[in-house]
Amino acid sequence: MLINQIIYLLLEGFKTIFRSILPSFVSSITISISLVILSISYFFYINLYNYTSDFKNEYKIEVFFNNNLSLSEGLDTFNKILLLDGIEEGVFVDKESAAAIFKKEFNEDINNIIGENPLPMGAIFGVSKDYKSFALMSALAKEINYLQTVDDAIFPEQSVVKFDRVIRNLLSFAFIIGVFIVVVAYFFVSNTILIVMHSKKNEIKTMQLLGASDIFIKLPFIISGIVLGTIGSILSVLTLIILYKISIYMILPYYDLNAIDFRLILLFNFIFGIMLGLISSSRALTNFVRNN
Amino acid sequence: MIQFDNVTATYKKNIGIFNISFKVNAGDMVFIMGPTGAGKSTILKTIYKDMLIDSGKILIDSDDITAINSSVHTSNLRKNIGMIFQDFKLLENRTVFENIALPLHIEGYSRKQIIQLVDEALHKVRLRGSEKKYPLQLSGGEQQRVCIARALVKKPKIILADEPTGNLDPNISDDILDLLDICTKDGSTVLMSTHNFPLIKPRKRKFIELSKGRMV
Repeated sequence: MLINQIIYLLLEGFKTIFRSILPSFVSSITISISLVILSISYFFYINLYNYTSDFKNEYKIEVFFNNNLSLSEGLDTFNKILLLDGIEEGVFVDKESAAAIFKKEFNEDINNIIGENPLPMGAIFGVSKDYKSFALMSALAKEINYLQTVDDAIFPEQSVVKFDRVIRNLLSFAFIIGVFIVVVAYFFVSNTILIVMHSKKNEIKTMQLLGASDIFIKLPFIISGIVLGTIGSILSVLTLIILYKISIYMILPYYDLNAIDFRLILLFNFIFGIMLGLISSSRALTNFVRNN
Repeated sequence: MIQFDNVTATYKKNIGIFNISFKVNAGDMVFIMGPTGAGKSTILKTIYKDMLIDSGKILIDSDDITAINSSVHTSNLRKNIGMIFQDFKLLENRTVFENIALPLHIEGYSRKQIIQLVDEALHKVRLRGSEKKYPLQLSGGEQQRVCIARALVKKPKIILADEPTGNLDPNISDDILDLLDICTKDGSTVLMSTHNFPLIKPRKRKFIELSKGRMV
């Protein structure tokens, strides 16, 4: 008996779509468009995030030791700094190396200009991933500056601040766009299903009078919501596959996109589309029951 | 079978039914008579729980249905009642077959059983051959016969008919009453509201007369 009802309700779920084909079509298209935009936003989000990580690898703290240090004192200081939390790696720069860097940057030999090498020993330190922000790098530079054998510790503050702000804004923007699209799709789909339900108000009332339980009346709408979500997600998956194929020819020659597991995005589309259909139809039903 | 015990049920502005008491035995066909607004439909609505009563008791097979307060129990009650409406309440986007089969689907009958029972019902209302038609392709009388088929297809103990002939020609109305008569021969108890006294007069059946919500 229960199996007969389940089969009937499943079929009714599909028939509900065909009985209101235009709103159903619009709902599926909305779900698919929002999933495509969401996937592209996510794609750019991940690429931007990875790109900034690459860029942040260039974040370094330059440390100048006191000029009167011996080589062993300089190496001691270098090792002390290496042990600090947040320091990932370091390159020791002795006086000769400092002179070589000077020559490389200014194309002049400091020994010839002044007659001696006044450049202090120092080091360039790379910071660990978690410390690549203005606040934490400032704190780290300050901690290094506290060492008596250190003359100065610097990093490109303004660049870091600006870059951090731009990236934060871009990522926030991508996130807000994503959330906005999901919310719009959710309301659009649930309102479309609600309109369909209102157009079937008399039909629902008749079914109630014939002894149909609430779940018997609701289930076809929930099933049709899931089916609409599935159709929407299939459309979005097809669109994304086409876009992906096109991007191979149009973007990859110029920019090496970060390899995101494309199958993961397709799986996300599929699950999210079904969830969107299910949640939207549930909201529509809740609203309908509340108002009737 | 159906017993009203001092039942009062009101809408706003003190309209409704007041202190109604009657008893209908199993297999009877009873008419509820009265002009528009007398409370005929209200009596039927209280039986299928589309309206709650203010006081009194309604018993069906000695069960007090006024105690039912959940939607699940209301659905179960309605499954045992066949309903016929003046405006037919057929689902326009479904065929005659699908309309008649609906109560059977609600109860979870198998496809095979449904085909057999719907065919029997169509035979009773003389609509065999129209199963693939949609309600709007039928005349008013035919639509009402589909409505009757839908009510009797599950062989209910009670059939409630709310002005089933209200929109029909006199000769077709007689035809509808004949069909309801057949239902009582099959063991159903029929309670029918009507304001058309000349229609029911020759039938020599019990009737309850109402005026302004009270029994006359």
